[in-house]
Amino acid sequence: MSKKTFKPCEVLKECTGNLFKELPLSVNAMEEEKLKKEPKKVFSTIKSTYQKMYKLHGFHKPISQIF
Amino acid sequence: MTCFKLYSACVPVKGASRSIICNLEKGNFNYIPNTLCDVLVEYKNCSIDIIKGDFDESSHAELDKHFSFLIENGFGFWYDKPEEFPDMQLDWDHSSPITNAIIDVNDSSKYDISEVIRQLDDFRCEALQLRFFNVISIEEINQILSTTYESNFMSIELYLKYHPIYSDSFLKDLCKKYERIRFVIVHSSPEEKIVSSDDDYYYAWYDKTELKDESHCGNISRKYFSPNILLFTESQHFNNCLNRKISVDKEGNIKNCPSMLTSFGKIQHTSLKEALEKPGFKNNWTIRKDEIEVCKDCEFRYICTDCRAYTSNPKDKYAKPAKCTYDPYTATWA
Repeated sequence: MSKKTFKPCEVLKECTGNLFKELPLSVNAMEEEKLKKEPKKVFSTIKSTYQKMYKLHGFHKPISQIF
Repeated sequence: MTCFKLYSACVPVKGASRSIICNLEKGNFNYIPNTLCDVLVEYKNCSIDIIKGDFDESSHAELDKHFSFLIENGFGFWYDKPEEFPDMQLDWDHSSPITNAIIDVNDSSKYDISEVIRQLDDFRCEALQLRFFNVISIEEINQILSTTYESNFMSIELYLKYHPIYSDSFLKDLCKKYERIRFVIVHSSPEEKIVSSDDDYYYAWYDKTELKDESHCGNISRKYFSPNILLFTESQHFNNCLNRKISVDKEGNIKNCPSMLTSFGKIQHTSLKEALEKPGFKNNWTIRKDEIEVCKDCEFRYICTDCRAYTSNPKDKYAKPAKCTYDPYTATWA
């Protein structure tokens, strides 16, 4: 049986970044933007915990794609 | 036997001309060649010796390079007992009959928005998008949003038409008062800017785009890609835009989404629950990306949200989204 050849990919090096990171509406961009900041002095309360939950998690996909 | 093992949340997706590997926990992806995707699928839990044994010697260095790439980028590792790391289940289900909703409003809308929100809350709906195509008073905004106090909503997205009354401080106070607001977009704005709170929890965008109606929707773009477990698994089994979605358009029609043609009754006479139970309401919920023309060959199909309202052929329910400019056969965006 003849051996296979592994075909290298030209785009491997140039496309390792994530384009969507830079765009404001992306779920990930928003969350990363928040997470990369230094954590502020936070007094942990039930309210603040829930507030973080709402803001950080949000919904898992765009509800519409109107822009 | 040392094998290469992908982390369970790292899943390769093969496209027509290239593949991606999604890290569904970190929320990112990388491009990989189709040949590497084939190796990862065909030689799962095989040792490197077995893999290299099937390839000619000139390929070995390339194989090593690509496995190094996967390790350096946090997609996998070498391990003796791969059976100790089972694959992630790709099942999807949700306890709520409706998970997300859109309410469109313009000056001619004649329905009780607060009542619609209450009905959505009865569904334990998680995410709500309110799109106002005309200016709405601050009092009305407060009246509508007060319905969401102590509700099940986790995320509220608000689209407002620009008016000087929507100042930065107003938006900040609004987001602070209604903590479920995820972001506010002020469309038709004379300038573009972003407003965030001191602790970066509140985001508002002013955008010059003038939103007149729902026809602006249906854009397919990289900026909407969401590589996460919930979307990836939902996309395996359901239409990842319309599944468990309900909408009320600006005329009060209950629809799958405001841009769809079929109405399941007017909200003034039909409850959302009655509409949901009508024949045909869930027909589009099961149109998977794997069945849609062109999308089925696209490497982004499980992280990109579909559109069934604007397609290249309205007579074909499996037609490609009309506003998608990506060609998976050449891996180029128009």
